[in-house]
Amino acid sequence: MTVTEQPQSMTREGITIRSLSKIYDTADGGEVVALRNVDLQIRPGEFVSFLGPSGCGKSTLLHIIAGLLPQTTGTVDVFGTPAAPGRQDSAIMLQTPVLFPWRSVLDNILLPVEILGLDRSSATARAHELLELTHLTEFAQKNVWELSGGMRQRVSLARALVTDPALLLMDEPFSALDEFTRERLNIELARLHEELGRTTLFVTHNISEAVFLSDRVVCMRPRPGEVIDVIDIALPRPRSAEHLASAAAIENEGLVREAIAEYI
Amino acid sequence: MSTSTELQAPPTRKDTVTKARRPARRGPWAKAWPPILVIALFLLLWELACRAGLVNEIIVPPPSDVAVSLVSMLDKAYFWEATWVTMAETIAGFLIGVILAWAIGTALGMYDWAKTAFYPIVVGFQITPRVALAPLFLTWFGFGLTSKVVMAATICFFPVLLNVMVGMDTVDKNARTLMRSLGASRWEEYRKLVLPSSLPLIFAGIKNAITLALIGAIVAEFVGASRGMGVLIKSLNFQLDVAGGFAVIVALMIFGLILYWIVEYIDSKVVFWRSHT
Ligand SMILES: Nc1ncnc2c1ncn2[C@@H]1O[C@H](COP(=O)(O)OP(=O)(O)OP(=O)(O)O)[C@@H](O)[C@H]1O
Ligand SMILES: [Mg+2]
Repeated sequence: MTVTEQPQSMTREGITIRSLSKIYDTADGGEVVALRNVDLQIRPGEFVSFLGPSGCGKSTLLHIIAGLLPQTTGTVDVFGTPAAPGRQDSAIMLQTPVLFPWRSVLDNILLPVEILGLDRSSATARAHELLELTHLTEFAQKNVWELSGGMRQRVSLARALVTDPALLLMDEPFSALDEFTRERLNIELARLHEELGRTTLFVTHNISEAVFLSDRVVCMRPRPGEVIDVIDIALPRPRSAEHLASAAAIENEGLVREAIAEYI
Repeated sequence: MSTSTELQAPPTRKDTVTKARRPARRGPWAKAWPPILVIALFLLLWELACRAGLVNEIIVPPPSDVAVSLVSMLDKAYFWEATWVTMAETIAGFLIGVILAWAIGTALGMYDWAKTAFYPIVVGFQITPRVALAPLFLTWFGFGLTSKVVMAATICFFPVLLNVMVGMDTVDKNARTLMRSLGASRWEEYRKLVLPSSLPLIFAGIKNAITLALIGAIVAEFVGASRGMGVLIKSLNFQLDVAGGFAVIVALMIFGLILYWIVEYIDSKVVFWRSHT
């Protein structure tokens, strides 16, 4: 693993989730236990996937870590401080790219810089680096409607990385894409992760995607949303296309499948 | 069998390609000539009907008379004075109506309770024929320009207000989540997301408003005024100068079109992404 530079906060204690529960009030006056008693310790620089069937609380967990939702009980500490929105050291990437058609590709990437009030000229230089890393160099001044779905998600990834966040939260970022594009983007994401070394929490339904990308896979079950197992992935880094269907990958997928077998 | 047909296909395909390319080369003219042809045909039939005595020239003058009237008006001070008055009323009413609708619509749209509370009233006024208020405005604001500006503003206020409010509801939920995750303030969220997201709908309302403003100004002039193109039409009709009346209507149409084109041009520059969403 080639970690180039580590932001200061990364040297702190990573992400600590203690006895976290989330209960939603439903419209008909009932309650839904979306998360129950989640305890997790995520090390700085780790790539962790959250895997489980629909409705097991993966998005809820990610949104709580992003500070977008209040938890019912428990605590979430991100690099030593409670989870909150508007932090420069964390960024979220959603299932849809959410690009603004009235902004060029470059200006879309710079949106977080404007809102967080960071220095624009150094951020612009960084945006250009990210465009290069995501193979979008010649698209900086293009309109977003001129891009394909896969390119749009790469812009969305570049926007998430522009503030140099130590924590990257991704909620099924590639699930709306076709299989070929998804695979290519996963390979790129693995490379980016190994190059930049950001702590990454990745929500997915897809077992092989989770295994290929992760250091650990958190397996979850629905109703109530609970962590049933955390699987260490024994695949070497750097990961590349040949790890997608290697014997080792398939073996790890088997372990994950076994853990969640009774819930799917 | 099918193979032999396919083998013969290329020459035919080449033919279609050359044919299909031709209109594109002619540019705007290819699009412009059909309406020009239709208008010319319509005017010709109208002219012939008048010449042949099929219609009474006092009731419906031939287009040539209307054209002569219009041209002779172009160097009359009273015509330009009336034009100036009506355009001023229209543009002032339009700007006041649009700006108020924008401000009030945004304020109402920001709060869910305000939206629910005011929505039925807004729809109610939107359905009411607002020109019916013209006599009332005349008694309130008098014969001068004010009553016409108020009428024009009122008539274009509601469609814009409605579109401003509805536009704020069309904002993508994930985009709001993104803005919140960045810790954007309410104002930043409005300026960087909600406003641009609702611009396509707001401008659709504004394009509607410019034509409505002209209607409002003319109706208000009909109801009671001493100056303006509505007054001019009425007085020419009283003098049985029907060709003159038609000439003013044609002038109104031309000025209305110019105003509409200006708004449409601004729309295409501001909401340049409209066709891509
Ligand atoms: N705002 C809400 N109000 C009430 N219940 C909710 C709300 N959001 C989510 N839930 C419920 O909480 C549970 C977990 O939802 P969540 O969206 O976190 O699941 P998920 O694992 O992300 O599912 P998916 O894979 O389909 O995205 C579900 O049962 C869902 O119905
Ligand atoms: Mg989800």
